[in-house]
Amino acid sequence: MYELVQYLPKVTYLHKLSPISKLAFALMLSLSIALSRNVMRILSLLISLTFLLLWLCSGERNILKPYLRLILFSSLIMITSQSFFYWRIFLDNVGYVTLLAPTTLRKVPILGHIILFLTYGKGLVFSYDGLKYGLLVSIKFSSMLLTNLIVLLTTRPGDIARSLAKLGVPRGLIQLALIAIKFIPLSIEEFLLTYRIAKMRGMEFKMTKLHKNLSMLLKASTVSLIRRAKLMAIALEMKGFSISASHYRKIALKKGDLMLVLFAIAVSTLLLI
Amino acid sequence: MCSVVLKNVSFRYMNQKDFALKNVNLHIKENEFVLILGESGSGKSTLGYLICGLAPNLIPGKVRGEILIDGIDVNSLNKRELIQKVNMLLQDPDAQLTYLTVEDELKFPMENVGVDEEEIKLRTDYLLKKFDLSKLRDTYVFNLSYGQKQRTCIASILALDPKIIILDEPLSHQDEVARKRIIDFLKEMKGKRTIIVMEHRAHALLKLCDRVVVLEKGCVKLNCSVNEALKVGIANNFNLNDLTKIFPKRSRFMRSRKAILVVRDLWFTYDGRNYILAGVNFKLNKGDLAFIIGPNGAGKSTLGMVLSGMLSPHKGTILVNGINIGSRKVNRGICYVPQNPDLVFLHDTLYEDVLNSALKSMDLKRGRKFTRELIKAFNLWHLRNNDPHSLSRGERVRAAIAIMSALKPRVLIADEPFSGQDKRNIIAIMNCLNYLRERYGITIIIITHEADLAKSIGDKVFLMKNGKLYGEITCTS
Repeated sequence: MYELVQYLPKVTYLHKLSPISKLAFALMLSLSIALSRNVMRILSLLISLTFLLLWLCSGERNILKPYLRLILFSSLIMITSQSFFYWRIFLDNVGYVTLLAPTTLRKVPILGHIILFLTYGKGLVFSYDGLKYGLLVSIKFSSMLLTNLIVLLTTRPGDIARSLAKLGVPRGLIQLALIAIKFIPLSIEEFLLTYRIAKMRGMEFKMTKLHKNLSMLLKASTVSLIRRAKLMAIALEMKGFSISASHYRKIALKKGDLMLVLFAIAVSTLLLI
Repeated sequence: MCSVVLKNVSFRYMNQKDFALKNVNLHIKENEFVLILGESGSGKSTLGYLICGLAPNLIPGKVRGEILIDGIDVNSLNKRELIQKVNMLLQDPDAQLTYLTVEDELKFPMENVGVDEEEIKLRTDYLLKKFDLSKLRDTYVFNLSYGQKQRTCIASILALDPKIIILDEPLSHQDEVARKRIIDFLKEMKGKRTIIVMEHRAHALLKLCDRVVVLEKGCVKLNCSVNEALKVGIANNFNLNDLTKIFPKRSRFMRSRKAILVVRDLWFTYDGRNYILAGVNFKLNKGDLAFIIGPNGAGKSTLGMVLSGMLSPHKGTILVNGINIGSRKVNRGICYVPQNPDLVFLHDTLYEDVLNSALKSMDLKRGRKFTRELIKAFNLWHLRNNDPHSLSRGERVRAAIAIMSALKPRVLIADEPFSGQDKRNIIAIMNCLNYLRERYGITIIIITHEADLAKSIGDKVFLMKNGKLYGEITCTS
C-alpha cells in the first residue's frame, strides 16, 4: 500500500502548538540550512533532530524506516555523483585523482565513451572536494527532510491547510492542492494494480514490447482515473468547494508558539553566522 | 407543502439517444422516507442527480419538466442553499472522497458553507462515532476499505445537515454489522429529515420506509405505500434468498475429492508490522463454489491478491493441483477479478481482450473458437465490438470474468462481483460462474458481503476476520 507521511496521533508539546508556528519553524530552519556553510553546526542540528524524531516515534519507530531509506539512498547518490562528477573538476578549479585514464576508457566500447562524454574527456576521476561537497549536500538534505518530517508527523494535513488559509492563501487553491496530493497515491495504486493484472494476464514487459504494452497500461489506468476525476469534480461541488466560505477563524498564537518561533530564529542565526 | 416535487420530468444524457427518465411525476412529502427500487439502468441514480441539481448543471444532458424543492425550482437555488437543502451519496465512494483524511472529509465541507467552529467539532465527533470511524479519524482515505470509504462518504454528507438526504446504494459495500449501523441511523433520522434511498437490497429497508417507488426503464411503474408494495410481492423481486432454487448447491464436482487448491499458514503484511493475513489455511476441491465473507477491512481482497500472485506472501504455502506455486508471478493457475473491473480491460474491444487472454494457452484458430464460445456463454456476444469501458456495471463485471477465465485458470477469484448489482445481474453473473465450473471444472472463490446469498448457494463458506479464515461450512453440514 502506498503511504504518505502519516500524522502521528499523540499528545506531546509539539502536537499542541499552532500549525502556523510549526510552519514558520520549518520554513526558517529549511532556509537557514540551505544557506549555511557551517558543516559542524548543521551536523549538530541533524543529530538533535534525529533524537527528537526518535523520541516522537517511540514505540512506533518502524514508521521512520522509509525516511531512513530515503536519506541513505539520496546520500549515496549525492556523495557518489559529487565525488566523480563534481562540477569544478570540469573548470579545473580543484584537484582530482584519475582512476581510469581517457586512453584506457577509449578502449572500452560504449560505456567508456559515455563516461568520457560525461566527464568532458577527463576519464573516470575522483575529487576530494567533490566528496566534501556531496557530504555537505547530503547533511543539508537530511536535516531539511527531518525538520519538515517533525512538522508533518505532529500536525494534521487539514490543520496545515487551514493555517495556510488563515495566512491568506485562497481556500480553493488549498483544497485543489489536497485533492492533487490525494490523487497521486490513488493514481499510483491504480496503475500498479493494472500492471499486476496485466502481468497475471501474461503481458510481458520486455524491451521489444515495452512501449506498446506500457501505452496499453497507461490507457487502461487513465480511462479509469478520468472517470473518477469527473465524479470527483461533482463530489467537490456537493461539498461546497466553489462557495468556500472566507476564512472566518482568527489566528490565535499561544506562548509556546512564540517560544518555538524564537527558538527557530536562534538556531537559524547560529547556522548562518 | 411538498418537500420534493417532480412534474413531468424527463432527462436525456448528452450523446445518448434514449431518455434515462421519462415523464416522471413524483411528490415526496417533507420528512418522508422513500425507497426507490428498480433494476440497474432504470434511472434511479439519474433521479437523484436531478433532485440535487447535479444534472444538467454538472452532468450534461437535456431536462424537461419541473423539479421543485420546497416550491422553488432546484436550478434557481444558489449553491450554498442547494447543498444545505439536499445532498447525495454517489455510488463510487472512491470518487466521492476528495480530501486526505477521514476527519477532513467531514470538516472541510462544513467549513466551506461556514458552519460554526464549535458546531463543526460536535458534528464531526458525533458522526465519526455513529459510523464507527473514530479510530480512523486521521487515516488517509485511500488506505480505507471500500465499506469504510462509503461510511465516510455518508458521514460527510450528513455533516452538512441537509434537509433532504439522497443515498444511492448505501449498503452495497457494507458488511452485516455496518449495514445494521446504517439502518439504525436511518431509523433515527426517520421523521426528522426527508430520506430518499436507492437500493437493490430492498428487504433490509422495506419495513423502515414510508413509501416505495419502483422505476422501470425510466418510468414510474409503482408508487405506493409499503403495505401495498408487499401485497403485490415487490419484496420477492429484490430478495436474494430465493436464488437457491435457481442455483442448486451441489455441483457434479462436489463428488470429486480432488483437492485443487491447498493453502497452508499464509501470512502477509504491507508494512512489516500489521499482518493482514495471519496464518490462513483452507482447502478447495475441483469445481467448488466457495464464498469468503467477513467484515470490511478483514483482508478478503488481500487474500485474493496474494493467492493470484499480485502480492507476495510473507510466508506460507500455496499448492495448486499439488504443485507449490510459491512466489511464481505468472502461470499460477489462479486468476483474480478485482473489485473495479475496469482495471482488467487493456484492449479496444471486448473480443480483442478475451482473445488476447485465450491466445496465452492456445493457437489462433482454437483461440477464436474458444473466445466466441465464451463470449456467447456470457451473453455478451452482441457487445463484442464495444469498448469494454463503455458497458454497464453488470456487463463490465461479466466481461472481466470472461477475460480472466479465458486464461483457463484452475481457480478464479471474483472480488465483490455483486456489489451494486440488482438481482437480474447477480443471476447473470452467477450463470457465468456456474458455466465455468460445469464446462471447465474451474474452482470459483467469491469474495462478498452477501452472507445470505453465500450461505444459500455456496458449496463452502469461509468467514474472514482479523486476517484469519474461520468456519468452513460445507454444503452437507
